[in-house]
Amino acid sequence: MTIAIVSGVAGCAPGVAGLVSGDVLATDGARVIVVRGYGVQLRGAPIDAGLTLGYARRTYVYPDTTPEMPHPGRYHFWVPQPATAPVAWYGQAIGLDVRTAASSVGITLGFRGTAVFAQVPEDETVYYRLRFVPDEPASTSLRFCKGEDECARFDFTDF
Amino acid sequence: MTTGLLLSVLGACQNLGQQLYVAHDTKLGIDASYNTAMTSGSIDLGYDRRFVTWVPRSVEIDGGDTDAKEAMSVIACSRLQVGAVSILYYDESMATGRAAKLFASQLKDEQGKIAKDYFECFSKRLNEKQGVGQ
Repeated sequence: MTIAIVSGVAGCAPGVAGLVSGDVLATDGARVIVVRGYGVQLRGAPIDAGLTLGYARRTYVYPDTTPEMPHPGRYHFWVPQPATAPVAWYGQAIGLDVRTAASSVGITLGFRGTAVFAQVPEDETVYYRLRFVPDEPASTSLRFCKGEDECARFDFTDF
Repeated sequence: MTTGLLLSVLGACQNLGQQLYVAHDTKLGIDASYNTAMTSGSIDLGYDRRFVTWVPRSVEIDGGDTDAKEAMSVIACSRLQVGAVSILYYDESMATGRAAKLFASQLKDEQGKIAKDYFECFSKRLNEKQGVGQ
């Protein structure tokens, strides 16, 4: 039953639902979404689909040019995310953590910390500079360009 | 096996092996995972920590074995500070594909000076080298 519910959320719009509070932060070159769940947290983004019963914290970093980015501010019970995958994300969960992504399923009872940085398809041209402090998400700094045309205009020294 | 475990961290990406990524996974307790793309599973009890940097083999080799491929072009510099179970600080500079090739070719000329500044750890190492003679 739990797997079915989570799979349903995963198949819908990306975002985090449940007893959660989230902050969308505008930082230097990035938009950072920080979500804290207390009790129940359902995650629908394909890269991080799953359910946590207990405490969970997720931090997602996107370039500030990402389309469909939610407005900066605080959200409760539903924290929307853009359809584009983040350039980096970091998560911690204490309790029961269930993962139901399309290519991976799993369950953890206890503590689990996960981070994915610098995820780049094999055929992409990308410049990427990230400074990330998980406990201080507002200090996140990102410079990012994708594709030869965009990166040809990139200012390497602006960081 | 280790690589398969960490690939399962990345969720629903259809071609995990065809993406470059840096990943970290720490577990304390009981964990059971199955990765459908890699058709590999595991059960862990206790403490486990993994760090992986995965560079896919995606570049065709001219005139070589048709099945063999070179690793994708990447130039990167990373700094990671970890605590007992968490990540405290992460700093990464990276260029991939044609951008990585252009950066490498510009290291010697005037524009190369700017390119070198982009990668903090590279410029620090260069400054230390130059400092020896000064």
